[in-house]
Amino acid sequence: MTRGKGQPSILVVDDEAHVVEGLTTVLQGHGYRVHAVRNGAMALDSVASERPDVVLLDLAMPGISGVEVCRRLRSYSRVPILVLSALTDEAQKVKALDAGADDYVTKPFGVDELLARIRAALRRAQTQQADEAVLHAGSIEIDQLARRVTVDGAEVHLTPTEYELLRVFVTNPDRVLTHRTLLVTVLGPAYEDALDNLRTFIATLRRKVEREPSRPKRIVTEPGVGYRFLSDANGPGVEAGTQRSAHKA
Amino acid sequence: MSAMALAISLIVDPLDADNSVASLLFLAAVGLSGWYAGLQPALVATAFGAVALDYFFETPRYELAVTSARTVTDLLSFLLVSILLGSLNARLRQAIRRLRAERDLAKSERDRAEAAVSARDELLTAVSHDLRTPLTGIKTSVYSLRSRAMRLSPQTRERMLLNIEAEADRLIHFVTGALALRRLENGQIPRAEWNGPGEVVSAVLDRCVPALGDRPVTFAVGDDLPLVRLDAALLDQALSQLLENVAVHTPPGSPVCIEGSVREGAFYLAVSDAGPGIPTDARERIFSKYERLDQTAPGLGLGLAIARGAVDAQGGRLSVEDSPLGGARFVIVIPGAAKTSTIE
Repeated sequence: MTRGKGQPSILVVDDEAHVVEGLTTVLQGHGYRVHAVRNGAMALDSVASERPDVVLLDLAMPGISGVEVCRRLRSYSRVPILVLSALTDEAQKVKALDAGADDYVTKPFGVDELLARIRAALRRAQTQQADEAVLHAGSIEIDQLARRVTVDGAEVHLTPTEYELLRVFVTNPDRVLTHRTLLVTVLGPAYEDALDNLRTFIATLRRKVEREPSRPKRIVTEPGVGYRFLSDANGPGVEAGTQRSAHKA
Repeated sequence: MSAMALAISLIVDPLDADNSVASLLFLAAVGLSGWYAGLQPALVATAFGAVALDYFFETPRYELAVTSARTVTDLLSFLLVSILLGSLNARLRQAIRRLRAERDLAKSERDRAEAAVSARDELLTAVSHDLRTPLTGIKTSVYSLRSRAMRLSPQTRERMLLNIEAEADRLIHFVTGALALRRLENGQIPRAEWNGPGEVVSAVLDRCVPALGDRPVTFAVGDDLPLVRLDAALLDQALSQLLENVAVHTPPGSPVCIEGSVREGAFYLAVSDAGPGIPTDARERIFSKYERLDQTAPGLGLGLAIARGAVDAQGGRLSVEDSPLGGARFVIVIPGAAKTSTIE
């Protein structure tokens, strides 16, 4: 979490004064610098001038919609965007993720969950490594020059699509990648709706990189939204208790 | 009616010098016909009365000839009064019928409105109770924590803070559930997409594992099942509720089994537990909202209503039966979800 330039800074974008006050107190208490704004227009200005490390963006705000804020932010910034969504704007949430948001938490969220997501976002921002020759994610290693993939030290053979899919996951760890994002990135814009193809590719990829493919711990499903690659298979996104469950299937 | 009038008139004929009784009786017959049968029967009765008066009572008797001015005036005045009476009665009857129908309609509408109001009152009572109880707890705890006069020990303060958190969680749980149910009742449109059934169930289970605690879970939803077309978020909602119920109603450490299969184009998902089970006579009732079998358990009786709503919304069925593990077995069936052509 230490980034050399002091405490990481967080931009909170929400029009509810009480929520902002609560979040500010909690985040400052955990060592973050916090700047809060009330609407999307101010958020766009603030990201340009203050260059925060993470943006917490409420979806339901007057003025420019949260989805539009994501889209415009992405035109000039790669800052991690964490969307705060209510149960009722499920569709907006997916749109925001399609538009470039990294992750979401559903209101009302637990503080621990929010802090875990923020830590994951900061870690990701620190380890932008897409152009490195060898990519690492836990026990997965991708040698981009040789197009060679090893899992737990053993080489696995991936089809070109599976390889590309895994590369996108590993370079976007702990981030929610929507079906659409994955399809467009890996298969191309013509395959935007080929969800059944994506399911099949994910299933075969899991059989090659997961220890227990029917209970995946690395490429996890976000039902109705997309997938998330966990850089640390015991890390955020999976509750600590998961490891205790017995599988006898 | 007219025949009866004729019979009576013939009997009293010896006493009826000027035929007034006969005329009045025929008029009565016309009136009654108009009232009970309508205008046309009244006119028929009028015609019958006129003919009968002429034939039986007007002199010369027993022939239809009209011979005197007296007979003409008698018959004309009978016809006039009779037609007026018949048509008035028929119209009056019609008007009264319409009024009664309107009254009945208004009454049934009022009954319906009253039923709706009382259902809403019931809901309001339940909701306000479910909202008030935690709010009261929160208010009281905050009051005590703020009050300088009360010297609270650190342990007490800690306990009150935990209470506030628990009550807030209860409120969140209730509001989230009530909102989800409301959306389902309003006819949420499912977003059916191709899904690997195993991965959806696995993801939901990952999230519910902390609540299930030390209950051993058998997971039997293969990643090799054919893809199914369903709304993953709705399936998530239904399954989460079922697993939440397992966590609340079955003893710690008791086994849970989740099995999935695809047969004849339908997707089957069964959650079996080793809890107390559901008595046969309650197996439909438990899916109604605010229905709680175990009044001592926490919860508001929304869970199974939400689960059923979420399954119904995508054309599926949710039912309960005996579990091979000794408790309840909830089965979700979503017909037509799979590509029937996948024969491997």
